[in-house]
Amino acid sequence: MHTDPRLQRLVDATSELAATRISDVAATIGDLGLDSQSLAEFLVVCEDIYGDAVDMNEVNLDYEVSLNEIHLQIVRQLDQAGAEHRSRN
Amino acid sequence: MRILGISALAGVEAFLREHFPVEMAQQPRVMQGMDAAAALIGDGQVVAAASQERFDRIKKSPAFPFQAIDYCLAADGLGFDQIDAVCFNFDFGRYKRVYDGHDIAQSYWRRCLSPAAIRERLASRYGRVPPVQHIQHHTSHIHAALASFRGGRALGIVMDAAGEIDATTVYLLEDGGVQRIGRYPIVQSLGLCYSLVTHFLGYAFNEDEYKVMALASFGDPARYAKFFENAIHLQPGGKIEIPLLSVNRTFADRLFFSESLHRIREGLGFDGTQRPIDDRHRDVSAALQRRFTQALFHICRHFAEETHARELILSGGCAENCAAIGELRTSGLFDHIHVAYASGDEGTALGAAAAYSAAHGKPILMPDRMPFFGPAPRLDSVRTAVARQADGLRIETFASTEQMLDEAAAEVAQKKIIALCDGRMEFGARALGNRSLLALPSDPAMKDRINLAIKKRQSYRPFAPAVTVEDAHHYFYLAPGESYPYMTMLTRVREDFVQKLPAIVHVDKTARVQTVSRTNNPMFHYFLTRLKMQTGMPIVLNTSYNVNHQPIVCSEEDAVETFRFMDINSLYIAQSRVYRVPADEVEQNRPS
Repeated sequence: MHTDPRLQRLVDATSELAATRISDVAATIGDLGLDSQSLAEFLVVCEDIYGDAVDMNEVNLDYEVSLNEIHLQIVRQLDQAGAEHRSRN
Repeated sequence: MRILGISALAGVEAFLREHFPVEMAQQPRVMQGMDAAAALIGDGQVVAAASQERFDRIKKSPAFPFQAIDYCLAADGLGFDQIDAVCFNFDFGRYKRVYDGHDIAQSYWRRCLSPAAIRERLASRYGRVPPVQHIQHHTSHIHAALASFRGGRALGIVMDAAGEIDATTVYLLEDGGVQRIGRYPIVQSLGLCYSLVTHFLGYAFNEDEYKVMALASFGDPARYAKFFENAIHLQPGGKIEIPLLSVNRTFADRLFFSESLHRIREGLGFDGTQRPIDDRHRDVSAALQRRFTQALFHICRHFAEETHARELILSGGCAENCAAIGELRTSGLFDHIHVAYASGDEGTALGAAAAYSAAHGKPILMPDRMPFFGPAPRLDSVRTAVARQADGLRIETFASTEQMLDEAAAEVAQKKIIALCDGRMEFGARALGNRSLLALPSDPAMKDRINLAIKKRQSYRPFAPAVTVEDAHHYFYLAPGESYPYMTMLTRVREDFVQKLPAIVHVDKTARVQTVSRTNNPMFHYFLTRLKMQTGMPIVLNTSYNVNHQPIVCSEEDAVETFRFMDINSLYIAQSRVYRVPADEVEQNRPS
């Protein structure tokens, strides 16, 4: 179990999407066999977990990127957006 | 604040014809960006809304909706530069990377889907473009439904073939908020599956699904039940799997679902495009409709249990499947079901603007308001249109609209078929009394007469009734006062009236009823009460005023032109009646 429940949800949902039992945050997109065919489904998963505020065009989703790295990229992006929002207000 | 909503993409059809001529020749309607439309919202009210098809006369037009935009602006006397925001009904910008893998895919995104391409279309005609907002497709759909919702806590389901990357989205609607609580990607699209089987049966994808739904009542679902159970898996947790949608590997196949179609053909084992229609077509339709209904129940039941919501709001193309929705209504799963009056993509023009308006503190709250947002005919234009038809049309005028409707009701009571084309045109697929063909539902010959001779469409297709809301429960299994003003709900006809209303009762003893109230549709209500005085029943057969494969009439010219080619008695329009000069008078006036 991971500290951030969103990461666990990402692992679970991606495993289900990839129809594997991999439940390791270090598993990469390539390990999971997610190709361009399943990218749209993966984006649905990510938006459901992290919300629509995340810009998935800015997230590195290359084959060698792990789920943990994807999670950290998204969290960083959301934190940054939150900080910008706070500074504007 | 003036907000313009637009349903459109940029030149999808032209792009696909250029790059995929073979696929487009076979499946010309398997694309997004159809049902182009525009809607104008001002200070929390809908000022105008219309589909592009009504102006360019191409059914479900995929053209960029300049004519519809121009109509909306003119309706409010605005120039384009006076618009505060323009809202589009797709947000493909956020899914650019889905199209990154292939040159043609990238080009497709850049030329047809990208915010820049869409903005360029507007700029090419109007010059300066105000801020453009891209609203997610299903968000647009749900806000289209909310515009006519009476409020309260509800489950909202948007279901269509495809949005940007999803096919079904589930919302919890509470205290004015819209929270997404479930989502199904395109590979789990019930709408897409239904459309592909529609195409397999030789009907038009993204257009003729309602014909398959009607045909289903004539079939036996048992023969092909196994195929559809294997095609659409219902999993715990309200989940759906449709393996045949995951088999398309190339970009072209993923656009046209060619491999999915191949699997359907293989699995069903015959060529569905062959005519005449036989029991196989009917049985496939019945099995598809049954499985679709089961899957819809599966999703609804799961989220109803999860949220304890007792109201359901539906939008998206699948919300037009009134047979399945009618079953949901009588299931007891919900206390009330509200279906958007424009649940197809045209409605997302209004919904995109409404979503933006709501986000800026002005939600569109127009419960039970009729969607009469289009142009209204004018008498001087009718006169001009009649004068242009130099072959024996006449026009008589009335002192009031009531007088015109008295005459119209009298003709219908005498078993004549008339067109009523008065007031602002409806927004959405249904004619609700302002662009309608009307006839007596008690005449046993009427259904065939209108289907075959007048509208030139399939003989099995049913017609819908319009009935005063206060009387509806006498004829249909509805609670007293239960209201379906947008003709979106299938109900059973009470046994006493199945034989008495043959022209509007489908083979399964159902009808897609439109209830008409004095408050929100006063003129049509007046017509029905006058009809009741003459026939004893405030019910009329109400079908759209158009010939098969053409959009519903819009302008005075369309109305008169359509009248010329239809074998109907009178056209009631703008306080006048257009009719044919009697044959003996034509003979007398003929030059010798």
